Amino acid sequence: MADKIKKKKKINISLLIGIIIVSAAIILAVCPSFFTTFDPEAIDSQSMLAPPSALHLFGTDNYGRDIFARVIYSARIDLFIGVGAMIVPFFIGTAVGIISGYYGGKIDALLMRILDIFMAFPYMVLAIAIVAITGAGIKALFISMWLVGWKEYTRLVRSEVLVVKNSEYVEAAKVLGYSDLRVIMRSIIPNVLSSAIVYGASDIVMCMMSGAAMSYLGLGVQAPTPEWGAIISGGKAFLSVAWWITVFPGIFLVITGLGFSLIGDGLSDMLRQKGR
Amino acid sequence: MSEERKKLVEIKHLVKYFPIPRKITDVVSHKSQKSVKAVDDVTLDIYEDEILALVGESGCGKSSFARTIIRLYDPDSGQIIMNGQDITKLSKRDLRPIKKNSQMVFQDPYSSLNPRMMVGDMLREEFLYHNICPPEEVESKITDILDKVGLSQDAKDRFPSEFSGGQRQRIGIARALAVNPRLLIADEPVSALDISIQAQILNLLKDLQKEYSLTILFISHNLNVVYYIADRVAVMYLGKIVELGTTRDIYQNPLHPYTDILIKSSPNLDPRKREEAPAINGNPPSPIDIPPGCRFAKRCPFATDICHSKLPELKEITPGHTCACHRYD
Repeated sequence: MADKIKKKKKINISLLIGIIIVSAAIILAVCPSFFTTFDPEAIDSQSMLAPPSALHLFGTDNYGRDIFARVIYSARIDLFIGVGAMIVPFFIGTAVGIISGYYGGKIDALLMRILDIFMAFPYMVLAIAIVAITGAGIKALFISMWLVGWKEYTRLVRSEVLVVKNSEYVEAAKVLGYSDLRVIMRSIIPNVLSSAIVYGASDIVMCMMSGAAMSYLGLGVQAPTPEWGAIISGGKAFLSVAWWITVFPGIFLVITGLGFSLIGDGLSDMLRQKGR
Repeated sequence: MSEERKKLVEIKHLVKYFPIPRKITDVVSHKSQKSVKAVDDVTLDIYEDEILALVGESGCGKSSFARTIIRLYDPDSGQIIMNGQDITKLSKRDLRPIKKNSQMVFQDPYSSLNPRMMVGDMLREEFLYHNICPPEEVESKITDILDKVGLSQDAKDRFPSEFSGGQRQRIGIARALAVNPRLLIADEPVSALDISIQAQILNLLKDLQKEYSLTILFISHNLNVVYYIADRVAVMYLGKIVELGTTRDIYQNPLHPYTDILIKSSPNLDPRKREEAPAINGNPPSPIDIPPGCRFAKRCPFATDICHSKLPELKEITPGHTCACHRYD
């Protein structure tokens, strides 16, 4: 008993740091106006490309917009892209993986061939094709990420289901006469979801990064909306004279990504301990 | 042993083959589909209120047989009559309400419990799903069953990982008995446990069998365990029953050479009774390509020509003691 209590008190450090970082990012996203009085889209021709100072903490860009305000306001849209682009594939991919793994046979073969087709699409080319149809913007960003994102979850979950469905506790549930749906909900899902959740936490990072990459290429979030990738993209022409335009959003992007990665890492450690 | 005993399960000519997936080149060249003949024409009655042991080497089809008679696997041919009802061809939906009549205790107590479900939740689900009792009585039912299998009440709110192997097997037994089954299949229930724990679990099974008038099909490869617990013993070799009789008959007067060898090769604590030479040589033939004739002929010390060509039938040699061997023709 004493041993058990000790175990519970041991807090996972990477999970803790990750949660602190991500919570900070969420606070920025929820109330950016609390941290800065500047309007991120207000143009000020008096102070273009001003270096960091007490007034403009991170300096200004070529339109005189306050970088600090732009970076802070970006948190909202970047988190939205990261989570939004991850959550839909998470559910679709997990569902497909469970159906494919549990039922097997022809259903499995069909779903896996569909997956192969999607595997063959290079993500950026697909994104550009979708942009060509819908026009650049956040909608195109989401559609393309949803289309390519689900397959990783499917592969991950399917392989776990293949292991779990042959376990004796699933057999026991079948012996008890439970329906397939009940077996899936009560015996399969709780035992296969952990790896998908862990992957999901790090997938948020990748979604944010590719969202930023798309915006950097001018395919995602459009000017003048502040977004870390877009700000970096805008600042690249001035890198030699105004490093602060690109460096600060870059740091924020990296730290937020690190936060999610740490959460994913910590979660996987924790779930590994719990599952026996 | 009364003469006229009611049959709980009648198994007639049961066959279960597992096809081996063919390579695409084999399909194109019309090579015939091969299969593992796990259960090959088994006829067996299980009486009410008895402990019938099924013994045999690993891979002889014991577990497949057990899983087929409760329709975890679909039989290829033959008939399973459970409690007067033919369940061989019942659809999944029709099978559902009668599935609770036969339950199973599994070999590995570590993989037979859902690691993410608390013991109380697991039992509660069973009671409610099968309408064993009105919802307001569920909690007292859980208390009862935990008591019966010798677990403390706080087990309810714990996960399986918090228990030892023996305790987990008790949970497995509780799960199986919660739905009041008629037939309990115990698939090597003690072979993964320590010797001291084995005895506890065997006694528990014996006690519960008496208390609930259970019929138990006890699968094992451990002859000492079988001797202790079983009323009757069926010996299986490569998908077929080769000998069937009361425990006393089987152990004191084994008819089939395989049974004889099995009993001789089981470890004995008495050094004076130990024999130096190994009782049996070689391995059983592959269950994919089974040679004609008696399946045991290759390893049998008494094999004659007929053994290699003609399959012996299961015949009653003395009352209640059957054997499939040409030596008794």
